[in-house]
Amino acid sequence: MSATVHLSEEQIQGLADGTLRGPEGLAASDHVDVCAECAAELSMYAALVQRLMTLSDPPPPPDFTSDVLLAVEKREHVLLQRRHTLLAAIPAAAVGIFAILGWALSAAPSVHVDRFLEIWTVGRHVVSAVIPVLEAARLPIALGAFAFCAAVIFLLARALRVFPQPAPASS
Amino acid sequence: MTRPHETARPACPADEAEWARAAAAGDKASFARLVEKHKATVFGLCYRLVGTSEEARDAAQEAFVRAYTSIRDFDSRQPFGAWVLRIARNHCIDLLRRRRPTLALVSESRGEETESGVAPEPADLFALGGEQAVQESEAQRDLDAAIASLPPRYREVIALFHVQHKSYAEIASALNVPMGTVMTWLHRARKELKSKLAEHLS
Repeated sequence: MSATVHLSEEQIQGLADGTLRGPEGLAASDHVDVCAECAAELSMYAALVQRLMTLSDPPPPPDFTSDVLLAVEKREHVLLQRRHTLLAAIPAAAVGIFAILGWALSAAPSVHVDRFLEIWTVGRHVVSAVIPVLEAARLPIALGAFAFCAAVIFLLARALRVFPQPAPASS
Repeated sequence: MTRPHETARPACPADEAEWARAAAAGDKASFARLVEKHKATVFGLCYRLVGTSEEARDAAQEAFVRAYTSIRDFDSRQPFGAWVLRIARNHCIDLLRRRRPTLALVSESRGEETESGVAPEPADLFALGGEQAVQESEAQRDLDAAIASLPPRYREVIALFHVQHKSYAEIASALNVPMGTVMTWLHRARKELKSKLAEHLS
């Protein structure tokens, strides 16, 4: 390799960390011997690699493995609870679908359409009558709805809270 | 230092494959063996990515928990270490996306941690070895800061190659990228470090 054609940065790094081997590595080493510019670059990278080799990470905490196993048990408990919830939801959904299908198949479709339109018309009348009342009592209704939602969310949060399992007694 | 640079992807050691199969069947003792074997590597990568020991512990723990809950999907022909490193890395990247970039490593550099979390006074360094020790400490702190300022993928390859002493193939397997990409990231990372640390290296 000619001294006028310099080594690439990758080749110099390869020489510095020892990963550039074989004929290419030998040729690169020969070039560095006669090229001051590449030798200076190599010296910088060699110093960097040496510094990097002195790096070390702090060790994991001594109780790391036992903490992982505890966390695994907790996660398993949560997953089990979710699975139970799902298993309970499946029959409920099946009953719901069965009820809807039963209702839909209990009479001809035109009967359901007529009944739906009738309910829609009645509903519109009711809404048009109730809207002025609702507008007048907007604030108390909003406050009541907020209190109701807060109570429901609080009760749900309490009911769905995952309680930690007691740690096994050490021998 | 010699380092394996095989081109083929590494395979799972027989004992690890056996432990992983047992763990998939619910044997937590086997999973504990896997954790024991790989905790330092996983914790080290998390530390280099998230920047503090506390967060690294949580991230590494979460990585192992995720590994356990999905261990049935683990292909025992692949190395377990690379698989769990991939989980840890993805989790750390998620954590980093959720927060602003930090240079926590600057303040929590290697060897400066104490029980109270307070760095030793400069006087201690003088007592240990005089001015040279102070310079060494500053250089080390600058190196940690320079690494912490790199993009996460560059930090990963620096940590895995230079700190964990993994081969290109192992890093490629852990990061799920081609080996050429690992080499490119490593070259660019070192190039950036060289320009940041020119003062210390010349």
